[in-house]
Amino acid sequence: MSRILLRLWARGVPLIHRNRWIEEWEAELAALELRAASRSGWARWWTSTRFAWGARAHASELAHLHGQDDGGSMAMTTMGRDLRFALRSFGRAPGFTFVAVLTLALGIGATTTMFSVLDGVVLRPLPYDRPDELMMIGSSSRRFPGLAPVAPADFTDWGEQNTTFSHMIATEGWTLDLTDADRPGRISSAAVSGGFFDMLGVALMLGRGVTPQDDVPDSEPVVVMSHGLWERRYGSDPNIVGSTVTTVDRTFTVVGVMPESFVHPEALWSEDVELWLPTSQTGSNMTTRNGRFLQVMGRLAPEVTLFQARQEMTAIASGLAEEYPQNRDRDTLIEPLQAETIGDVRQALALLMGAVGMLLLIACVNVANLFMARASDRGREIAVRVALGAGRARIRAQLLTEGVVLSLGGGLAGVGLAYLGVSAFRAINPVGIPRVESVTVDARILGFAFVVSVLTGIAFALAPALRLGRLGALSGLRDGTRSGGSSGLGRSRNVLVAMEMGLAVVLMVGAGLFVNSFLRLQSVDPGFDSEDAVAMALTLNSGYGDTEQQVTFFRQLMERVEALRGVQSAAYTSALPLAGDRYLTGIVLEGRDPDPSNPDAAEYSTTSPGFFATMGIDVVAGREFTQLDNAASARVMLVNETFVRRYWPGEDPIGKRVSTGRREPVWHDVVGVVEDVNRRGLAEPATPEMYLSPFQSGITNAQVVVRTDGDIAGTVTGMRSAVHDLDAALPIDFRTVDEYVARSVDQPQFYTQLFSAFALVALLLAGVGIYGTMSYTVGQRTRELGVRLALGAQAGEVTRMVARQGLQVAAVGLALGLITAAAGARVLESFLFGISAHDPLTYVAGSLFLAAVAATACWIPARRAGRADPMRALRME
Amino acid sequence: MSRNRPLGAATVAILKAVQEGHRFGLDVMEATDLPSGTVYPTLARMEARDYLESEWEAAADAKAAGRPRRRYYGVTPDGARALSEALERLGVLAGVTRQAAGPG
Repeated sequence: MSRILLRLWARGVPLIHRNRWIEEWEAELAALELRAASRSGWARWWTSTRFAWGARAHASELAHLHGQDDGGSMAMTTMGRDLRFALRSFGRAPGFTFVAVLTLALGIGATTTMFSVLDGVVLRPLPYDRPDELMMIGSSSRRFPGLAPVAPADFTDWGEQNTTFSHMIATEGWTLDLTDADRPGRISSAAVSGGFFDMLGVALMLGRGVTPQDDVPDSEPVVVMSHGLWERRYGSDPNIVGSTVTTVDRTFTVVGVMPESFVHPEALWSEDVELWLPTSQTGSNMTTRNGRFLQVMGRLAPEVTLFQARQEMTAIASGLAEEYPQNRDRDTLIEPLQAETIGDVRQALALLMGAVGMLLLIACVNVANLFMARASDRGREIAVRVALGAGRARIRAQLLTEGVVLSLGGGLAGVGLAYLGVSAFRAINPVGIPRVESVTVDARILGFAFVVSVLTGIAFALAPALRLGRLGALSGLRDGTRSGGSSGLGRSRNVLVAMEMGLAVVLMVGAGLFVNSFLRLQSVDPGFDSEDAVAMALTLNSGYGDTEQQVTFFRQLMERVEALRGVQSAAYTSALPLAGDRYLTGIVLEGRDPDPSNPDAAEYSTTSPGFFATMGIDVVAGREFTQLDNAASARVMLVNETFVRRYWPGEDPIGKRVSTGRREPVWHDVVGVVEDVNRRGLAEPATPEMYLSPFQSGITNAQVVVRTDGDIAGTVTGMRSAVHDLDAALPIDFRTVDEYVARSVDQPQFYTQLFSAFALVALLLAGVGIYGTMSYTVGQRTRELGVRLALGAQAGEVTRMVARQGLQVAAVGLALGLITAAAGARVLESFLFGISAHDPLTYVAGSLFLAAVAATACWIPARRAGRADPMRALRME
Repeated sequence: MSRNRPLGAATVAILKAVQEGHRFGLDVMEATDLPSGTVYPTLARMEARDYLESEWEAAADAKAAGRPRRRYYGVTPDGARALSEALERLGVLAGVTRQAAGPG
């Protein structure tokens, strides 16, 4: 800023002194900056700007001393004059100013909010050292072409054989049930291999990270905790390092605390991880090649490109594929961490940014329209100024100054709105958008808002400025009291209105598609009855080691829960549909040859007797589980309809046998078939599923589902004390089943709401724009219309004539908008469910709606035109 | 501008600061606690009146310090005379005001 000021003032210094003058001030400024270096950014900026401001007096003093009254700072004085003039003229037209600033504030505010989100989530680098080098490395196969988890033995081989990564680490999502402090707590954790913290390059706040020495079998258990957990559970104890935290079966020594700003890479584990432990402490088999459960991350070695790393890892994978049968057809996949973290949200945010950009454009068009109307009113004033010798450049500069001043006002208000918008966005944290914590309004965003405001101002002031600047002195004066209103201006205004209609229709159609798709999504029958049902999540700790203990606990719990008042039925399951728990396993079907390249698989869960009745899922064939399907009897399972369709089409599934064992076959008899449910999401098709008996397969991770007579709160209290009576150390969590269903459509709902809000504002602005233009035109044509009426035209005819002209413009805009919408609809396709992006009904409905708004906006001024009193209109002359 | 017009308080302060060895504009500002919009025009005016003279720092020195060349000001003999006259006058004025405000 200060340098810009100096350049500006320098123009006022007499030429012979100018270079000297600049040199002197450069030196002064450099010295000032050196002295202010210790101060904060704002203070520094303010000091140097204030300092450089004073250089103006110096410049004009020099000009004065050398007898040249400043040619250069003349420009400044003129600008100041333009500024003051602009402010005065806005003061004289408060209504115009208010509407214009409000419109701009909406446009700029919405754009700035969206940009903050886009910037925080997508554009800003991840908060790790040299984040571009961080990569997710996955195992991929023909069946799962995505970034799949990695087997521990593969991870070890990759680590030993690769040369392109400077670090390679493995992690596994985990939970620890802490039993220390005053209450039990379930803590989202991550098991990490030694070197994890080193690789991220984040300094710990206290202590040290998990080292490779911690991560060997039989090492002492250690944990690193998050700043949040340290504060919340341990009261920010400064001596925490070296103390211990306990779970039921182990005592961990705390070795470090992370800084507050640290976030576990969300691509690894979407929960807020609060404890990190070495992978050696999970008890997982860290030498197996059969189980794939590790997530692997690496840091590219210096000077290595992603391409080189991919080549090398593919070579390593094909070596392993030859060596081990389990690795046949397996490859590796490497994706940058940033891309993996953001995932498909990038697309959605880009889409919303586009929508909000259109909104800003509409706001611009609206203000340009207002400006144009005002400018043609001022045609006479401008003509006088031209006649008095003002150059065109001067007039244009004046109009542009007014535009920029106006939009800076709008920008200021817009930034206020953006602050509100951003804090609302963070508070709602809509739908698990990643990295929401880095969404803030900071200097970058303010800079963005400033640039947008200035560009906006220039954009909407340019058209009138160019046009009016071209007006000859005489034409304005000749127009007499009709004050400007040249046909050229009228044409420009029509173009603007058509543009506005076009943009609005694009947004309307987009919103219509979103709403339609969301309604369809909501009306999807999840396959179960979610009303009046509540679910309690509960995990048995390692104190319940065998199936016998687990079954005993749940029997006692269910006895207590079923006895509660208001409970109609109760059951438990290891994986509640739509709750996010999914377990996929390979299976063997009796009498069917396995295909190694396309192994048979199904999702499985354990469900207690009564589960299907409680959830309202019909058993369509065979029977449900009973208490007798226990360890003493033959293993049984139920399957869903999709399972039957996939594996035994046209056959009777009852009595067939399926094995779920990994090493040894474990055969189950199919005793029943149940209806499909939407387990993964309402938009996701059902997949083959198996249900197993808890008395035979055990259960530690459970959701207890209770169907109530409506008194959910009372039931929750009862269930809480029932669990507490049995084992006070078990952490529990309640949610209604309705809530799970609602949460599964959070994301589409959020996009739909946002898009609809944009479309609504667009509709409003477009309506106001058309109305404003029409009323203005009618006002301009008062005399002409008066003459028509005086000569015998019917009021209805005049009304229709005026309305027709407005609607013609609207229709042109509508048509152009529909073409644009149809051409651009492809980008919406991946967000839509059950509806085509070219759904004709939505297009027609959107256009009709907008046409109705346009008709209303045209009709009101047109009616006024028809009712004009011819005498009054003529007397105006 | 009349050559005989007496020097104002700010001008006196600035001349005094330069005389005391604050030869660089920014130093003068800090020594006098006056804003840049006062200090620099005054320096220019005093130089035009030949009360001050200026010289540029040797390019080699500036380069060694890693900064743009500075402009240093110094008080001329004329300037020194005017300054001491002004200080005397200001002292008298201070006496006048003290008397005016004194007990009585």
